[in-house]
Amino acid sequence: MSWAAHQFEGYVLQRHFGERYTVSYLAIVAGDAAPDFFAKAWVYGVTINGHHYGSSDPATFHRSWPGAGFTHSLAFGVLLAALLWWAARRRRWAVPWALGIVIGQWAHAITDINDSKGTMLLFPLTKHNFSIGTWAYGAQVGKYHDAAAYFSSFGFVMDVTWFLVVVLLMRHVLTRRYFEGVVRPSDPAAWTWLSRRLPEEALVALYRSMFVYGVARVIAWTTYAHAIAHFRWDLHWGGPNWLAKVSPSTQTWPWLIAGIVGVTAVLGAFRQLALQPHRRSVPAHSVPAMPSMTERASRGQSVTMPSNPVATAEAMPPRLWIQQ
Amino acid sequence: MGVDRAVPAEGALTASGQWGRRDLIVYPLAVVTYVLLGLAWKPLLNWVLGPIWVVVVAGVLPSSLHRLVGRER
Repeated sequence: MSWAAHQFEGYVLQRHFGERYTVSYLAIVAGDAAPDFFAKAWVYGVTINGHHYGSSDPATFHRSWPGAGFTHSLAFGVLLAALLWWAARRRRWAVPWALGIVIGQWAHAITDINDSKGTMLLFPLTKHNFSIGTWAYGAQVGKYHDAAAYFSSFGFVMDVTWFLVVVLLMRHVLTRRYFEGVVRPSDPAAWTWLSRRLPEEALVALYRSMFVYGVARVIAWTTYAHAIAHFRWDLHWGGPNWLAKVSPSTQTWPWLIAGIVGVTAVLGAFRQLALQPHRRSVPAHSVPAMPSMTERASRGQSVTMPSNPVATAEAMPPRLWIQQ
Repeated sequence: MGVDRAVPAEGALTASGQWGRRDLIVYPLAVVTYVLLGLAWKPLLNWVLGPIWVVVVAGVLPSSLHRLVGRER
C-alpha cells in the first residue's frame, strides 16, 4: 500500500485532468480514499479488552477474493461512479463527480501495485494480483510496524517523489488563484454548499488539506520509524528485508503483458467514452493570468472584487484567473 | 473605488496572488502541531483526522480569531 502518495497524487490528477475536463477535485479525493475506506479498518482491526476484532489474514482480506480486494479493482471505481451518477443523474454535478471518482479510485488501485501483494486490477475478469514489488506489503504486522516498514523502504522514496512532483512541477495548483479559477468552478454545487458552512479561508484550507496532511504524514511516520522506534532503512527493491513478509503475488511475463494490455485498454476506453465528451473547449491554463490587485492598483485600475466568488467565476472565464 | 467584504484578509494574498504571510504561518503550524500531537498519541495519525486538523488549524481558527479580534476593536 502507499501512504502519503495517495494524498499528493490527487493534485497531479487535478492538474492533468481538471484543466482539460470538467472533473471535480473533491470527487478525485473521494475516489482515491474509497478503496481503503471500505477495506482498511478491518485489515488492521481493533483490540478491545484483549480481544482483536479484525481480519485473521489482513493481506488476503485487503487485496484478494474472497475478501475486500475487489475495492482495489478498476471495476470497483466504475461501479461506485455509476451508482453515484445514477443517484444524482438530474444534478449538474453528477458527471464531474462520477468522472472524479473513477480517476481517483483508479489512481489508488494502480499506485498500490507497487507493493508485494499488488491489486486485482482486472477483477472480476481475473483474481490475479498485479504487482511490481517495489516495496514489501506490511499490513499483516499492524499499523505502526506497517508504517515503519513503508517509511524505511522505497515507499518513502515514492512519497517524496510525489511531493517533489507537486512542488517543483505544478505548485501553482496549490494557489488560491488556481482554487478559485479552476477547482471551484468545476464543482460549484459542492463548494457553494461548503461555503455556507465554512469561512472562505477554510475552503482554501480544505482544498490544500491533502497536501499539507501528506507532508505531516511523511514527517510524523518517518520520525516515528527512525528517530523513536529505530527501525533500519532498507532501500532495496522489495524491502525492507527485516519485515516478516506475506507471500508475494506470483508474477510472470504473460501476466505482466496481460496487465499492461488490459489496463491500457480500459484507460483508453475511459478516455474516449467518458472523458472526451466532457473536454473543456479551452484548457484552463492556456490564457494569460488576471493581474494581481497590487498590479492593477499600480496602474490606476479598480481593485474592487465582487462579493460572490461563484458568480464571479461564472461571469469571468476561469482560465483568466490562473497564474502559472 | 471600493473594496468589499469578499477581499481576502490582509496578508492572505501576496502581490502574485499565491501564498500570503498568514499562509506561511498557519500551514506550517498545522503540520508541526499535528506531527507533535500525533507522535505523542499515535492514533491521531490517521487519514480522517489529519485533513480535518489542517482545515481547523489553517482555515477555521484563523478566521474565527480574525473575527474575534475585529469585534473587540
